[in-house]
Amino acid sequence: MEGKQMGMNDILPPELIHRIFLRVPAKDLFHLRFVSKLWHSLISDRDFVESHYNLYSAASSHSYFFLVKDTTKSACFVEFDTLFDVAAAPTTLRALPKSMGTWKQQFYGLFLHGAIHWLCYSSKDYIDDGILIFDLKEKSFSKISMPKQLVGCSPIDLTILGGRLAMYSYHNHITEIWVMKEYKVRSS
Amino acid sequence: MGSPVKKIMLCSSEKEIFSVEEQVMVQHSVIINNMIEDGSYNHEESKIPLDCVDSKTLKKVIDYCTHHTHHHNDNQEDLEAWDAQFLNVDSNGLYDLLMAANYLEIRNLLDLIYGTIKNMIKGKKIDEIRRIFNIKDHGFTPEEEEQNRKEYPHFY
Repeated sequence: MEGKQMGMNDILPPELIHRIFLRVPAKDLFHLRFVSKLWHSLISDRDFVESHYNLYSAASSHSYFFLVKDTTKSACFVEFDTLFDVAAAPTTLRALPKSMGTWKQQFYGLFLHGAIHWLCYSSKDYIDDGILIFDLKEKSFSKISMPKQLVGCSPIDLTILGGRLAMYSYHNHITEIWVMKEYKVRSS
Repeated sequence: MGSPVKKIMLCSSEKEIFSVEEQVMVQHSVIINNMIEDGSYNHEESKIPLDCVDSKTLKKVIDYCTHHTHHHNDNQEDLEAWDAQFLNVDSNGLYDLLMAANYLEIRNLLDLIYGTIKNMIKGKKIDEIRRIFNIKDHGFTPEEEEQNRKEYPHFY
């Protein structure tokens, strides 16, 4: 064309690129973030994530959903089998098998009390360790930090015992089990 | 029998005047439909200035609207083939069309273009996407770029 060779980012206003991305399934958006810094910021934008979520969760029963974790600069993608049937059946969640930053991410989230729980722990530092909770109704995250007894233990697994959230660690032939008696109350 | 077809005038950024059937544009463009409905367009003297749409693009947009008005009863396959041929343009031509369709709010054309760009992205590696969309300055620092490439080699 005339003069300089212009690229998409120079020609199209960000608002139109944003709208293109709204049509792209979350699993493809994951790597699109690395195409350019502009794309990265458009895709990581909270409002974008919200709009994308609304579009896709309404459109189909088998939706992709993605969450952006600011602290790790990394995103985690989760595939829901029937998003709105979660109340009816225990949901299996599958995150893309790719480690999140320094986190070791458990691939299956556990469904309990209308929220999904992932265990996050790192072998390097324990600051961010704990259970990441995503409340489906509120669409909000919260976290329970790792119980003292299990800090530094590895490997750790998350499970549900008798309707309660539990973590267990097995090392040196000893299994430590930690059960949260009262939901979301760490000390229980 | 019947009154002559009502026309409206569209003016491109190069000040070239295009005379188009009113019905064609009203049916497709939300903006033009609003102008006709609220009476802000005067058939005797008005021209609709489209300062950000060049003649080449405007001609294509009019082609699209005209075809879809007169051929909307064609079978789906024929229409899709026509659309595919219509959008067989270089990427800059595609951006121009997208901006024009956005400006005039031509929803079915917007959907068509968004879908086309989405398919151009689908399943492509990052280097390929950068080439297709001519993204030379990705904006990452060399360190960030290296880090990303190291962390996700299969994306590139």
